[in-house]
Amino acid sequence: MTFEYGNNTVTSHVKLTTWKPAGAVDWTAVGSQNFVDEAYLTYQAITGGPLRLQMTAGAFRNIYGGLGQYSVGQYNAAIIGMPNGIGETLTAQYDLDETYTLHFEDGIMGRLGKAPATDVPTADNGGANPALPSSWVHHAHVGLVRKGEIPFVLGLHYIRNWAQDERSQVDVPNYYWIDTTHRPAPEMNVFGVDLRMLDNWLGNFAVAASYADAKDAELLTGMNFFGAYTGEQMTKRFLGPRGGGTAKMAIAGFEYALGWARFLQHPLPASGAGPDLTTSIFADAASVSSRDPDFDGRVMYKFGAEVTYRFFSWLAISGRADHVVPNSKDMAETFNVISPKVIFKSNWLSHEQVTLSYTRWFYGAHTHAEFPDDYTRGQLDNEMYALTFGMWF
Amino acid sequence: MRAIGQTRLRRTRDIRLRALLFVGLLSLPAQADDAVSQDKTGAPPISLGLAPGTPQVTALPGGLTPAYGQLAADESEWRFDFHGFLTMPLRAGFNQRAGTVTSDQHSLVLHAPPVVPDYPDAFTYTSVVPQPYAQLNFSYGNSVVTGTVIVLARNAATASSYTSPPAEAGISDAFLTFQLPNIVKNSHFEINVGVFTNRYGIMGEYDEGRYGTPVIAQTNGAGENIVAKFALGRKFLLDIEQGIQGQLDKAPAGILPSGWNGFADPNAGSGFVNHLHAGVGYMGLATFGLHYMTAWAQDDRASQGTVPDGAIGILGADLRLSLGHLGHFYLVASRAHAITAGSVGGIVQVLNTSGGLGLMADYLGPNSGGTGTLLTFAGQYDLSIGRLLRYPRAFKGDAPDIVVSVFGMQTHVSSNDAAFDNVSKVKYGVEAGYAMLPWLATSLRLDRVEPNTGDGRQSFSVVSPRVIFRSNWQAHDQVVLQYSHWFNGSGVVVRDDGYPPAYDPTLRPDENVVSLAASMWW
Repeated sequence: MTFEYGNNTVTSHVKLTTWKPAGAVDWTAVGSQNFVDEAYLTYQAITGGPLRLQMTAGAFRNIYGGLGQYSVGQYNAAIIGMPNGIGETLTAQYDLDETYTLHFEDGIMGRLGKAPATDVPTADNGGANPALPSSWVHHAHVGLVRKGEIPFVLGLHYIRNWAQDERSQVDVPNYYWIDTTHRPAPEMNVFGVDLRMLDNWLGNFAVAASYADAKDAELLTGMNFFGAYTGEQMTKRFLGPRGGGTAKMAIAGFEYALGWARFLQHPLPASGAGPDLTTSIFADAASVSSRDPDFDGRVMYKFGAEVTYRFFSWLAISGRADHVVPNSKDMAETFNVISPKVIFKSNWLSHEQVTLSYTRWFYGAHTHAEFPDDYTRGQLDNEMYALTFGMWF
Repeated sequence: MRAIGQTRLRRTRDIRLRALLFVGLLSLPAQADDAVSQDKTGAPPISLGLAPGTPQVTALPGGLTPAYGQLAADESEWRFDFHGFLTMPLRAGFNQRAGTVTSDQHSLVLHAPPVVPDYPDAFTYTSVVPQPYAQLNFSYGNSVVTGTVIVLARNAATASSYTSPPAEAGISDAFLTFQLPNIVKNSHFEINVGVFTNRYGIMGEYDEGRYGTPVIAQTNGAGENIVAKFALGRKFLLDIEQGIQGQLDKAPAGILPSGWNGFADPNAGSGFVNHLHAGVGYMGLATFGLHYMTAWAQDDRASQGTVPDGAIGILGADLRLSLGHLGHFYLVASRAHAITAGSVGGIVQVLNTSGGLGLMADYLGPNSGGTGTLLTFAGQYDLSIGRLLRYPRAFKGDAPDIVVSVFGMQTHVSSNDAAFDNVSKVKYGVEAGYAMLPWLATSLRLDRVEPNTGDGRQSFSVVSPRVIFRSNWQAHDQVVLQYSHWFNGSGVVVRDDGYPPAYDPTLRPDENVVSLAASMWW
């Protein structure tokens, strides 16, 4: 829930979030209830002319390299990065003419603190890890926006995530590959580019690529990279734990969604209040050059498609198929997924939906889950029925 | 003519009947909808279970069944209100790495939060380093009664490196406020009932003052608070206040003090506080108040009854002068006497310390047995030069202005712990702010802190220049870019990053801190 208050110049935003509503749990997972997740101010500092200046200050997150129209995409992983913390982001826009606008953005973020030295990571404290230093993120971006019937956004991005904190250099037993008693200064530099065609009669399209150069990234916090919330997740999923997160990684992804009713009715306007067929194709790919021999040279990719047909204002059906190759060095980890769905809504353009879905996984012999849920092949479910509820307002 | 008239009458009746039937048919679905949702009395629809949003509580005492979700009979008088405050600071303390610097380490280190002696529960607190805080107040009520629920956090999850449940308090306060203006002639009664805090010894005109510390005490608990104001003629106002509060529970026996439980101490009993206050106001210009508070615990469950009952008695007096163009002046004296107060929990906070254990940790010493006395004097004076120079013309703050503030506090400690006995602590400071443009102001604050006047090595000074951005002259928002430099004595001690933090004399404090704090209140 986001609570906002403000005027034309400044607005405060306070977000309360949870991923585990208390009414449906048997035990309290510390950290599942974020009574204040984000709290920040947004300023429209300069408005009305060809030059506009905005500032965001407080505790919040930025997202770069998202492939979806309103989200980071079907794979819920920003291709370039998602800094989160406390700090500021300045955005300047300058209209070159009626069609083109230049964008500049710069931000710096830090953490409110670090996990205490004598803490032991457990479920009681949400896995607080004293080995992790207090991290920082600096990011700078430049972009060109083309307005018009078919709008485009081209962006160049640079993000640096680093730490230089000598506190709590203690021996942490589960860090096998980094000497936490002489903790190195971790850092990761990410360079990215993306091109987005914003929603129009031709659909919504985005393609993004990034290149990350990381050193001891297992110690980093403050940035979500390719869906990994922390440096530890990033290291154990992509960069390789035996290298302590020292690696280079290149990522690319695209997503294209098209509403066929709008496309076929063009140039007539489409309200969206009628039957429609929506198709979406998407793919991500990454290659890793790592100090960890198990991860060095690994290529991972996945692609999929989804088709949704809305018959009535209250009913739609959908089908999605995915092919996932997590490790090119062991193709037996490859798996496929199909997921038919029935979607109920209260109206064509209503802001809620109830989804009844069935999902079937077809696993390879060596397929396994990813950190932190390291399930083995034998522990994985291969079928799921889900009744999902969602509303946005 | 009569036949024609009867025919017209019949035709008219027929048309009316058909129209009635038509309207009736049209209205049938609507009636059916109404029947599903509510009957004509506004009562909830009959169903086989309770609606999901219904509170999971029993009937209220007296058997009253709360008509949750139903409109009040006098609905037009009720309104919903939303207020809040947030301040979120980016902070960085700069220091040099001690010892050997390896090739993959930086000599310069960055600390968040800064390693400086600025802890809200310690005398060394100056509030120079901004602390994260967010509060949302939701209220619903009418002219007589208002229910308020406060969601409070001293953290923001997205910027936190670990989960600290005490910092994400969730619902911190939930209470009712009754406004009773006409019980007695020329009087006004306000009654608060529920879970809330009371604070006394407030140095600021509208806030906790430059040191962010209620000098007399703060209460935290469930209970009641009655404020009665009586007009004595046209110039004087008598203010009588009373309150009793207790804690909702005590820490369970066997619990291990840890960060997730706020370092709960099973040796502390369930605490209570009773407080009485009397004040006289003169024409809204001056208020003199006397304060009495006693907090105690008499709980046999505290460490199986082997812990002595504890108490903290507080006496205070304060004078507030709201002198308009001559500024705001506040002076307070307070005496807090603790007796085996280790068993008194967080029902009361003296100088921001939590209960008796907090007093022992920060003032009385670990070997005091929780017995000792704090005698505190504090004052603050704020003056708007712009308002003073424009007098007698009114000044609303919508033009350039210089605001000057001087403030100070002195505490003398008497304790059963010899190492903490007969210690005097002093701090004082000055701040001058210049609002030059609607969106820009600057400020300079100087602080001097002497935690032990008998040992000058523990003293330090802080200089803090600031640049303040806001959306307008009297805006309710600001973004403050601040640099602070500490001039530390050789005996200045800071806390480590342990859990809980402990003073570590081997640590070298940061001397330079930069912060960027965004704040808004509404």
